Amino acid sequence: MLVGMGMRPAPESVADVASVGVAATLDAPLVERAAHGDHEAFARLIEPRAARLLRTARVILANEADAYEAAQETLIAAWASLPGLRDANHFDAWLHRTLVNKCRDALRKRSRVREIDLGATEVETPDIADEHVAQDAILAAFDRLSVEERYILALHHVEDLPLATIAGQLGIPLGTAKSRLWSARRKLERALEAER
Amino acid sequence: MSALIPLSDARLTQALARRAAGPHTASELVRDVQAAVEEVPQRSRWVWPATVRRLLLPALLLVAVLPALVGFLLAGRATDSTPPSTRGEIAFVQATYLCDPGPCRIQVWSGRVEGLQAVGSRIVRTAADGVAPMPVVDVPGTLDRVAGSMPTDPRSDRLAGPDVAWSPDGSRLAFRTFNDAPGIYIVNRDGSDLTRLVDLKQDRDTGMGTPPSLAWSPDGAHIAYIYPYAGRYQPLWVVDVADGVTRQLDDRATRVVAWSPDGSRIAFARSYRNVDLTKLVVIEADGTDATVLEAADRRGYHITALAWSPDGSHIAFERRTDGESVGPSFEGLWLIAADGTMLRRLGPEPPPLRRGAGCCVLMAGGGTVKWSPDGRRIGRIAHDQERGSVIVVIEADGAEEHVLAPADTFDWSPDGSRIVLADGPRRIDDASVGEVTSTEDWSSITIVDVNGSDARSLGPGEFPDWSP
Repeated sequence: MLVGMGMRPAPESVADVASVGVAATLDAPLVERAAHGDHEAFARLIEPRAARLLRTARVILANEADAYEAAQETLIAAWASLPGLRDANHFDAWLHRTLVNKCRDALRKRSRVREIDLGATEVETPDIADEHVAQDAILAAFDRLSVEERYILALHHVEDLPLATIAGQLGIPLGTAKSRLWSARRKLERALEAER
Repeated sequence: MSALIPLSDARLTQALARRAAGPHTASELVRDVQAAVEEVPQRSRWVWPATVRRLLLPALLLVAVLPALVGFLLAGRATDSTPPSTRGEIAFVQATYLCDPGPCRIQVWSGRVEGLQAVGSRIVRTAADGVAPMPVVDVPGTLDRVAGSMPTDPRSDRLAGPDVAWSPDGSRLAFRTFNDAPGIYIVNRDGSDLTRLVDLKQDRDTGMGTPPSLAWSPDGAHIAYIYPYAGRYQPLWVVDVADGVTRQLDDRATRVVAWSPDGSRIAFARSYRNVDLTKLVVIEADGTDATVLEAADRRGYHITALAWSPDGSHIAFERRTDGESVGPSFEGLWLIAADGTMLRRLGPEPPPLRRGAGCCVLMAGGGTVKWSPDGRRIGRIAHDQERGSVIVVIEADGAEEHVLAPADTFDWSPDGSRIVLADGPRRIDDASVGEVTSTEDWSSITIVDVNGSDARSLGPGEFPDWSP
């Protein structure tokens, strides 16, 4: 949940803030055990990752139900396919690649009608209302991006991951990660101009 | 025009952070997933410990490469690196049937069989010279009944299956079960490493589906399939053979799917429920850019089979129309260029429906159109009440068509000169409603040349597939 405007979502557990690379190395034994059908090991594996998966899916899909389903399907697919994962240290990259695919599937299924959330009932001050209008325009532009572009922006702006970690997550060189992030940002700016 | 909204890092972060919040918690997600995976089996593949893998691979490479290197040096010239025994093999299914308590009653028109049980099936393979088939693997799961829930194809009600498909390199087989262990499986040619690639829960006990029930991509890296199989219009999926990750490409497909020869596109029939017709669609293999190639613009017209030409330039497809009084009717075999142009009929126009005849109406094939590997001919299954199921072969230019042999399923040899077919079960004693007391050779495998001569039996079996 937001602690206050302008701050990133508070982590749901201390373990949630562990960097991807360190967690992957430490969890390799858990991955091995889970791949052999150990449910408890699998639970320990996904607990610190669930919040990030859910946040990322929400950012990409902009729909709570779709995001929850995509995150759930990602973790279930991870369980089913774990025995086929050749290198336990690549678990996080593999998991997030699965999430991206699930999000892509969800977007493909969805009809081209933008859903309006009718749940907001709080009264906003004029300043906050103006800022939300501006942010809504940004989000509308964001929704014009591809799943991969949304994903890299989510990792950088919501999860606050260093570029080196993002590169490891995506399995690409650091320079390529920088370039993709810059390219996604430029495309977002152009899309925002089109939203005027 | 409204003012341009400045996009700062902070504002973008705030906007995305708003979106990232939601009512469900991570704890809920973990709890729901833990409950779900209690019933989800893992792919049954043995995972080598990392240390063993690191040592094993170099050792295997040494063992594999050294003799080959010595052999090469001794032989003095390069030889074909593909072991001959993996080329041109025929795989098929052998099932054991019982009529218990006997006799079984078979209705040819509806395809229903009462009292028939399949007590087990296994996949076998053999070279085309017909030496005794070697067992590959027993089909997982058990089947309560043979009579299926899809009466639109009589074959599915009479055979245990499953249908099998060689991987493009001939090293593995894929098959799909519809029993109490439903899913897509792959197994090595020698029967090792049987793996359930995808668990297809909703296909449980639906009985044998209309073949083909899956399609390998030309590079062997993916398999396309429709799931769930029951029902007319279902999502089209693709699974990555290496890691079992699935992707949905379309949500309105029928059981007609084929990869282009270069693996870049998939052709399928998309259903339009509101207007009761299907259209031929080509989609990029990554799920983008779906293009309608042919819109059957009359209600009740459906595409029931399709196949890409070996050079990828054309698609042959079979169309049927829902008959007004006597059931579905074959409406023709058609050819269309891969860019959607040059649509034309192949072969003679089918005879009109004969009302009130009660029989003798040429029905649509149940999803079998196959181009010969040399691109010269197209084979399809047709069936009617007089002749039962037969293979019809037509020259690719449409000039000549002939009935080859009675069969339910078939496949071409790699050079296109021969056909392997499965024939059976036949009508018993020429009765439209008959009784069966003997289940020996309920379905049998035969190889014939493309003119229908020189027939050679391979013994009992069903759903043959000839490796490339």
